[in-house]
Amino acid sequence: MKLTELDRGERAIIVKIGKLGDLKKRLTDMGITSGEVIKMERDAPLGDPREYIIKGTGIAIRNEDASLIEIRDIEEEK
Amino acid sequence: MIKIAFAGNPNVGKSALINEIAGSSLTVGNWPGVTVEKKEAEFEYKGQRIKLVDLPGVYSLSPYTLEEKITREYIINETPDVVINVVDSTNLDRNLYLTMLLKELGRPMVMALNFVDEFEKLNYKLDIKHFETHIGMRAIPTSALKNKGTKELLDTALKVAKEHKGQKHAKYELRFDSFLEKKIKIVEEYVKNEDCFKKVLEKYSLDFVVIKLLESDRYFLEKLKDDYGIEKIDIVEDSIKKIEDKFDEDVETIFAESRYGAIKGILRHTLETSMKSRLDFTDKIDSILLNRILGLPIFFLLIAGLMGVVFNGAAPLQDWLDGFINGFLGKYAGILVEGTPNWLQSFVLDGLIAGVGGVLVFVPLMLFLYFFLAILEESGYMSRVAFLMDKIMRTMGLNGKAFVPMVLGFGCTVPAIYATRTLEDEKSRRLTALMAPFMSCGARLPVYGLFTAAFFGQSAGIIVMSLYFLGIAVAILVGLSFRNHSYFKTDDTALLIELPPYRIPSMKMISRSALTRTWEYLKKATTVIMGILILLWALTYFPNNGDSENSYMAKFGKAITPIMKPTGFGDRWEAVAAIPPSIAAKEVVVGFMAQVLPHEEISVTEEETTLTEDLVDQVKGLGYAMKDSAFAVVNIGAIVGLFETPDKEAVEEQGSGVVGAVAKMWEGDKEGPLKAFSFMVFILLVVPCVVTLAAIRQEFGDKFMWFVTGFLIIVPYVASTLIYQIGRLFI
Repeated sequence: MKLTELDRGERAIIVKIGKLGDLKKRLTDMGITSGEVIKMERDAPLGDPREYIIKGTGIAIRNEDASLIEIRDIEEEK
Repeated sequence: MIKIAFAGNPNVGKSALINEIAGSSLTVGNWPGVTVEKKEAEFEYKGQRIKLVDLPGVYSLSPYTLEEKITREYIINETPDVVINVVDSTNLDRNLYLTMLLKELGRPMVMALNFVDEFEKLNYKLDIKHFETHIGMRAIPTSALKNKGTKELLDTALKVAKEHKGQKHAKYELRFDSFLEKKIKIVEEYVKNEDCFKKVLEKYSLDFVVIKLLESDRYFLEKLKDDYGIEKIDIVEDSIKKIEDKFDEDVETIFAESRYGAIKGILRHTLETSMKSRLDFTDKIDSILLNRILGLPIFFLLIAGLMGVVFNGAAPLQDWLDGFINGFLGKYAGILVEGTPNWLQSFVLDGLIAGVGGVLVFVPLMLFLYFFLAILEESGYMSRVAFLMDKIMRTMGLNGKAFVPMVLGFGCTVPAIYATRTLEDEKSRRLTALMAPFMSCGARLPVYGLFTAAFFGQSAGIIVMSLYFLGIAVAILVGLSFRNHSYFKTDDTALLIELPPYRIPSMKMISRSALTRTWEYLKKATTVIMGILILLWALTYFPNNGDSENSYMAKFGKAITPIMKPTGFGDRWEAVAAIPPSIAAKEVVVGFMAQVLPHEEISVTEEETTLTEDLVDQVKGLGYAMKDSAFAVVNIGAIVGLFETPDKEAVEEQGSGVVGAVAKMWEGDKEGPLKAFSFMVFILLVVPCVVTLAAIRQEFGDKFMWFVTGFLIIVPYVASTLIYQIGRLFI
């Protein structure tokens, strides 16, 4: 599943960050790493970007970048 | 002297903390060669000279962004005696990541657990004693807002600096994953025993060298190669391969995850959180401010409010200052220089005093701008602006925040240039600064007023509106054509910004920073503005002692008239010659036209007043101005007035009879209105004014100022020519 598939208020677990080059490093530095819980908080009035909550921080990510972040359902735990 | 550097994530209240500690000794400037703001302070404390440096807010130390590079280089090269790591205590699991990276650099450290008041309100608890043991440094709870812990922080920092005095690098426990630790040990042994690394270890800490080697930090590897001649090391390559094979990830990510793992471990035993989240309050506000339907309308209202507050709030004070300098000071300076040669009198009154006025009238505007921009930034709303406007602004290769400087440009280009500071990225700052001058500013309105009154009568409104839209269109065109140029193209194409929790800004800090930044404007811009204004005065005064029609400026206008022919208005040297002095300020065109065009003047007699009467008048005037300013700040509806073109009567106050005189320029010429329009287009697009140039120089340096100057001469020339040449086909 891709991060962009999350609806408002839904949570998921990050599996892998795809080919994002330097952006991957920046995401990692902000705490967006595999195994973390991420929540889709809201989309901007124009639909893009969207705000996600991770490690108690709201982070705005554009959809084109979010679509390269792979997630899985929380229920699937182990 | 003890050097203390402050490092931390963005939005952790670092500036407010420094402000509280340093007080009025704080100065604001830029880091050498770049437009990243640098705050410093020097003061005496307990018999020691102390220097504080505020490093840019960063999430990491990988030198891919300008801010991270500055922070990392500063700590390595300038070896501060102690680094104070400011963290948001309500968000430790993310904030401590930078702490881990800072520890690798091996400077003595102290931690400031900031926002401790919020921390307590959330009912969180931290076992500080154990936390300090695990994290390896003293941690002081602080709150800049409540002025709590600042003294203890400074004392502890000084103590730590003393303890580590003379020591090259401080060693911290880093707590990586055990597999990583093993590989780190292997490389460590190698580095310690290899002669070629002796020199490297003089400068860099062992931890840093080893970890950056393993992370294959591009920048560090380059340094090793260039400065020390060290290239590929087999033992390192081998370790990297083993790590990547084991974890099936790239090595940088593995190290990052391992750091986060260590943080989790430390916090599991020391931090107790409650059910409350630091985002509860923020979430409530954002459900309105970022609402799908209400978000944008509220944003536009807020921006309209900002325009009103900045421009209308400053206007009464600017008017008073203008009257005080040109009226009051001018009058008495006039008495002082009476009897001296004419040129000296004119130099003092029209050159010097007008120059001082030109600089000072912007002071209220600067104060208001910096004050309200800081509120937007410190409260956390500015990040939301980027969030709301990203989709629109990115089509021009700009950050969503660039919308704010653009809108301010409709009031005045100068604050628009200074407002580009709020953008994170140097290149988007440049592009925004290049586009902002095309937003038609308030000073151009009197020129529109004059020419529309002379040539367009009833349709004046539509003509002025078309000029506004033309300006926007040109700006967009410029944005589209330059956004991929390497000088303007932003390095980070992703948005990725934090939407920090809303916080009530510290008014003390905001007012102080508005004052320091305005002072910075006076220091940096005065010479340029005064210099050019005096030069312009000289060019319009000499050689014939005030006879503008035969001045150097007029001669220059006449000389370049042939070149200006294609623009249409180039057939009148008066119009051409009005443009160079217009860079003093656009409204000067009106006065210049009144001087060079033959017209009937209506004389005004002035009343005789004494010095005391004048003084009383000035003080009273200041009182009224402050009252008006306060009212204007509240009265948002008044922003409509910013876009009102002065009518014929208002224009004639600048030079009586000037409308008729201008109308006569192209009387009977069926292309007259087209030529007038072409002239207005030129005024719209040409270099706005000296103060704008001074602002660009202060923010972006000499080279960029000259580039903009040239650009803003070519663009209007091309645009006016196109409009005139195409327009005449239809007449």
